[in-house]
Amino acid sequence: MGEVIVITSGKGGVGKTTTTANIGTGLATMGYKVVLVDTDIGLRNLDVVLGLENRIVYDIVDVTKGNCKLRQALIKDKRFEGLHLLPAAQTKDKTAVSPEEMKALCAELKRDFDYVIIDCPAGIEQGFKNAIAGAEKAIVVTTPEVSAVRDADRIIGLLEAAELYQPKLIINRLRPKMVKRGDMMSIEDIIDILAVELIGVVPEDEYIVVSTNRGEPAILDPNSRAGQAYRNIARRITGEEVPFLNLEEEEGFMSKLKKIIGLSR
Amino acid sequence: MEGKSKEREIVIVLPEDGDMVAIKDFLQKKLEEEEIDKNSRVILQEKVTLSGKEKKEIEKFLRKRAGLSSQKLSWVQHLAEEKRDEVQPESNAVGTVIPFVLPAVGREEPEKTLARGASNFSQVKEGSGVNQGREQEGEREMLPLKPREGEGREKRGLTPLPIFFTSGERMTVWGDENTILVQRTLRCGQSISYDGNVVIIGDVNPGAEVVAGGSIIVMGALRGVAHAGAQGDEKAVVAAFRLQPTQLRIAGYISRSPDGSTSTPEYPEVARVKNGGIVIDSLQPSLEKQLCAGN
Repeated sequence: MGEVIVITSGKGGVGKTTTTANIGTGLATMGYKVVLVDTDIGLRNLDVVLGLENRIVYDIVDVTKGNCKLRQALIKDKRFEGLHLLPAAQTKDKTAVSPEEMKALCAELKRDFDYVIIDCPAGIEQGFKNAIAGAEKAIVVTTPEVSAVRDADRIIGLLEAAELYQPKLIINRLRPKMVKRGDMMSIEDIIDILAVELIGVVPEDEYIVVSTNRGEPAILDPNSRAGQAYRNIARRITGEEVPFLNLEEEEGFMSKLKKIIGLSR
Repeated sequence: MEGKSKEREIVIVLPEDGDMVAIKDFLQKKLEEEEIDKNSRVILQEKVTLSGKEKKEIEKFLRKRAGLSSQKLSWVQHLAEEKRDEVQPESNAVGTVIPFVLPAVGREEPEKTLARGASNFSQVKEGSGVNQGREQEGEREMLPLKPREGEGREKRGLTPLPIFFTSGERMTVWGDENTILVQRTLRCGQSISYDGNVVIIGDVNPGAEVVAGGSIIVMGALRGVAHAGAQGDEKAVVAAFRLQPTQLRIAGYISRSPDGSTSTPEYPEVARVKNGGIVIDSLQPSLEKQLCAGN
C-alpha cells in the first residue's frame, strides 16, 4: 500500500508543479514506484515540466468518467521505469471531477504505487477540494513573501478542517543573501507564523527555468542547488534523516538553520 | 433570582443510528424520564449529522409533546471519546454569519493609530455604566465583566457550545456560558465570534478574526483582527502575549497599527479604551488591579 501526498500552496506560482515533478523524479531515482497526478484540470502543466506532453492520449477525466481504463491513461516517464504521470484534462474544468471520484482514484493508485503525489491547483475552490480528497499527507509550498505565507496559512487551516493534520512545509525560492540583508522573510519568520514542520528549503536557482523549459526536472542536474535541495526533500519523505543544505558559506546562517531544525523536531 | 421560574438544562445524546420513528421513541422516553416541560432547556447532541429537515421534525415533535419552543433547543455535535465526529461544514460559503456588527455610533475614529504606553492612570474616569450587568458603579472589585442577565447563567458547569467559523467550518468548544476557551491557532480566513469573553490558547494569525461581546485574551501572538466589546461594551479589553494586530476594535472604536514596520515589544500587552481612543499598555498585574478597581 502506497502513500498519497498532496502538494499544495493556495497561491499560484510558488512552485507546486516544479516541486511535484522534482520530488516525484527524486523518489523514482531511488527505485520507488511513483505516480504523479495532475489535478489542475484546464490548466495542466505537469506533463510539460516532465517533457511528456506529446504522449497524452487519455486523461484524469476520461478515467473518472470511465472512458478508459486507469492503466491506459497512465504515461510512463521516458527516463525512469518507476515514474508515471496521470495527466489533467485540458478542455474541461475543475468540476469535471468530484471529490468522491478522486478518493476512489487515489485508493486505486495506492494499490499499485509506493507514492501517489498529487499536484494541486492554485486556489481553494473545487480543484483544491478534489486534490485533497484522497490525500493522506500534505506538503505546503510557500515562498518567502507575505502574500504566499498568508495563503499558506489559510491552506493549512483548510487542510486541518479536512482532517489532514500536520502538513509539512517547503520554503521555495529563498535567497539567503536577501534574507541576510533583511530584505526577505527569513525561515524563522515563516515558521513563526505557520508553526508547521519544515521538510526542506529550496534556494532560488536560475536553472529551474532552464529545466522547466527543457522538460527535464532540475533534480537530475548534479550541479543545481535547487536540485540538491529537492533530492534531500525526496529522501526526507522516505523517512531518511538528512541534514539541511548549507545555503550560505557563513557560519551564522547555518547555526540559524540548525536552530530551526531543532525547533521543528 | 427568586420569583423567576427555575430553568433546567438537559443534555440528550441522540442515538447513533435509527430512523425518525426510533429517535422519536427515544425522545418520548427521555421526556418522561427527565420530566422535560416548557421551562426546560434542551441541548441535543447528534452523533451523526442530521439533515435540516430531520432537525425540523424533531423540533416539531418536542414542541408538540413538551411544549418546548425551538428557542430553548440547541443542537451540538456529539464528541466521541476517541475521534471527533466528522464536522462537516453545512455550507462552504465564505463569510456566512457574523452576528455582531459595529455599533453605528458617530465616534468611530478609523484614522487613529495605536498609541503605545501613552497612559496616565489617574485620568481613567469612573465607569460610565455601559455594562448593564454592573451593579454598583465604582465598586472596588475586580469585575470587568458580569454575566449578562439571562437564563441559566447561575449554572457554572461546562456546557458544549457550537462555534461557527465564518468560513463555514464548525467546531465545538467547551466553556462556561460567558467565556469560551479556544485551544487552537486561528489561521488566515478563520474567524470566531461569541457573545462573551474569548480566550485563545494559540495564535491569531494575520487574516484571522476574533469578535467577542466581552474581552479577548490571546495566549500567543495576536496578528489578526480583534473586536472586543462588539455590542458596545467599552470596558472590554484585548490582551495578548504579543499584541501585533492588523486592526483593533473595542466597542465603537477602531484603530490600526502604524504604517511602516515598527518594532513591537516582546512582552504581554493590553489594549483598552481610554480618553476616547484605544491605548496599549504593557500588561502589569499590579497596575491592572488598580485600573479594574478604578473602573
